[in-house]
Amino acid sequence: MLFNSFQFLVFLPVVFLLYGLLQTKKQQNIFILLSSYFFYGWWDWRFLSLIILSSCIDYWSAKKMQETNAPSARSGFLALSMIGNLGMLGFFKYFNFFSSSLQQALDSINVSYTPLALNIILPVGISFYTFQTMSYTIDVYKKRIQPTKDPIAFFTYVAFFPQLVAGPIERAHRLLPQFEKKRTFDYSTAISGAKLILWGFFKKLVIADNCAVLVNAIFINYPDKGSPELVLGSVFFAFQIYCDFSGYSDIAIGISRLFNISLMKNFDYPYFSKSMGEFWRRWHISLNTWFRDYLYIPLGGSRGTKLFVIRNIFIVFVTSGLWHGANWTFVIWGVLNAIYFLPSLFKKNQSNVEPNIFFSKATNFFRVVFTFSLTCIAWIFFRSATIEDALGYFTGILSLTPSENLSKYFFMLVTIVLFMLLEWKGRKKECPIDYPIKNTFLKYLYYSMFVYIIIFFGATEEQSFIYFQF
Amino acid sequence: MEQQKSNHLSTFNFDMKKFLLKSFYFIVILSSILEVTTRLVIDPVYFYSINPYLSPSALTHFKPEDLLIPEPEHIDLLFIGSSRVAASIEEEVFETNTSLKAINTGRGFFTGGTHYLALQEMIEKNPEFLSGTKVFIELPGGVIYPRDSAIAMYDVYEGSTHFLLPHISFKDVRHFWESRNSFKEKKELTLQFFFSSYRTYPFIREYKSRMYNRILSRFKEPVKENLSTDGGIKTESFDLAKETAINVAKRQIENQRKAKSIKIRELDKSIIASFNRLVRNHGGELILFEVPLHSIQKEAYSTPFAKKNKAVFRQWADQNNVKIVSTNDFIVNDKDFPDYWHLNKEKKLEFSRHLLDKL
Repeated sequence: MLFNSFQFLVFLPVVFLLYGLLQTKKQQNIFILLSSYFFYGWWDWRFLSLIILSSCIDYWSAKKMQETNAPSARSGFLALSMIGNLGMLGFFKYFNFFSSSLQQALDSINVSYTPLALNIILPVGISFYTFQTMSYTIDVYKKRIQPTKDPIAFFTYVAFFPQLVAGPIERAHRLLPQFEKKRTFDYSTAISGAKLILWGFFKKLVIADNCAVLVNAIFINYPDKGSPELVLGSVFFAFQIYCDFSGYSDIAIGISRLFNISLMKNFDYPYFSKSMGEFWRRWHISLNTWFRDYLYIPLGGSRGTKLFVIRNIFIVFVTSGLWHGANWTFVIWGVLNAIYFLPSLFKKNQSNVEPNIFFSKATNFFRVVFTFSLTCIAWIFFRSATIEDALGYFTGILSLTPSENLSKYFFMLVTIVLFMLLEWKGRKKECPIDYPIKNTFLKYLYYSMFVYIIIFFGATEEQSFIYFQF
Repeated sequence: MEQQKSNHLSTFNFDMKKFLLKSFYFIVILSSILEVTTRLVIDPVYFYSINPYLSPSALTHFKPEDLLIPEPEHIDLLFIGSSRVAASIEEEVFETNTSLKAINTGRGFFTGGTHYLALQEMIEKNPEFLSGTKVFIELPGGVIYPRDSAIAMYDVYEGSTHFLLPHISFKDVRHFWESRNSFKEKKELTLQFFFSSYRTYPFIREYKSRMYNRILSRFKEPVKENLSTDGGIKTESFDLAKETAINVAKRQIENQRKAKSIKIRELDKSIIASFNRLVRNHGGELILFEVPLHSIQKEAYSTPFAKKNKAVFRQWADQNNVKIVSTNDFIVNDKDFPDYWHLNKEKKLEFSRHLLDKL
């Protein structure tokens, strides 16, 4: 069920109202769990078996880890959880990729091999909930948290519908305790959630989906396009993916707040970053901190020789690339970002995120533009179907051939500039459109304006969220 | 004890009631503003633009000054039919050569029933509207449904319920629910009839796109003419247009297989007979004419079944003094139909002159 679908427009109010009638924590959790399974099963009910299996393995493994003090037994239960989760992820997401990659590798040394290609459907959001549930067993193993004794709360933590298919990837120590106590409705939390939902839909339908139409046309026909059009294509994709994914995150966080559940921030105005290091602290925060805590630090982090740290950085970014998709284009995207990230790593006195001092100097402006340009280059690999396509796209840009009829992009560019101004003005706030207006009618009018913009300027074709495929 | 009590209270507390109430107010204010604005500002333009009897060109070339002629003028030659009629008849040819006022109400996705309701509405508003008028209707092609006109007048094409809106009242909405249209169309028409914002939403979005194009054309890069702006099938792809034309023809042939041959007395109750009565009762004359067809459509209209039906229809026309103008001798090639469906602009002028000569 997509957030931007008619079904969800019915689903959410029904779930919200019924939830309001429930009296105990147990009732609330059972209801949220069933609603989440219904939400997820709407795509394909068969996917439910995977999420239930994954939840069972991790609940049981963590429980068993608690019951024993023998390190080998604890490691065994952790291994079981890892094999279960990564096995499912590997099979559903990477089997065909590795099989065809093996064939290509063997072909190059003249060894004949017929790859085993399975007709596998990638379950929606498998990468998200697998990582979320894995973080629980790892934290229990590391004794950072105690395993929960409430299976319903745990299953609800894994399947909570607002963030189930595209994050934010929550940690057990943050989200699980919220399911272990009764929630009461909080007016101001719900209002802040409603504003985030509105802002998320604005980003998704007005910016991302309108950009998608242009991006698809440019990327599919890139050999026929001139350099300026190809540059615009990568810029539009940068905004498409940002507004699509951060829009989804805002909607997810907003919906959770209606149930008085707090989810972590996932984006922090990343395109105002002055360096790639800062960009990665502001982009997909929940995934990047996951990789930091569960991969980078266990690998040794930044302790050790420079070469050792560089190795760790490359491992993290390449894994992050592969996490996004089973394609070499994502691997290249990861490698590029690792290269971009290195200067930030070795630079002393790293600047902290201080959005209020941005653009205080002209140099900052150019640093922001430069950082954005680097991300756009990497996005070309992210968006292209194959490496050949991405290289062809770059060749097209470097050919410096003129483009005809650029005026068709005028309105999208104006929209993006207005959007960036809006974000810039509201960058210190969680939701940039949140303005204190005392007069109730004027307040309603102000927020209605965004609804009207969504209705009349939002794309009409129902576009799935990009990150659902990951 | 207190703790236990609070654990058994529902989440539906005062705050939630306040939130629901405020959300309700927000939705009411939001919808009311939208509804009032569209009713006052958009509706007049909208109704005008979807009514070919007031402004045949409004849908594709609407200008605000068009609204300055709100009342229907008396006309001498009235052409009724599908988009093929719209693409085949140039009013100017008739007006400059005969000094008679001509109007072409041919419009895609308009059924005979919709035209009938529109004409009836025009006559109600202006009883002199048809006095002495020659009304030309496109000669029916493949299947001629001998349906009772009381039911057939509410027949609509899928997704085209809005064309009925300018011509119907609350009573008609009730009748529409008794028609043979699908539930989806019934629901659509009802929502469109009662809610201005619902009916004008797609119109505003389409108008917005046109405004974009108009502004862009000022950047000295004119918007490329395409099939859609030429009034053809709503696609810019020639391949898709061909596919659509072939599929429609196939469907027509399929329908002929399922349909029964018409009997002459059944036609007395049909929509065409109702047209004849309406036109004659108000001092006009009904004339049927053939429009040029692409070979794909011609094939669908030339099956033994279609030929037999047409023969019966001609018999009925003879008996009821309805003149049929044959345009078989008009030479036309498939290349004259750029979207496999509609005549191009040059041939449109030629055909209009040809038809004028025949009258």
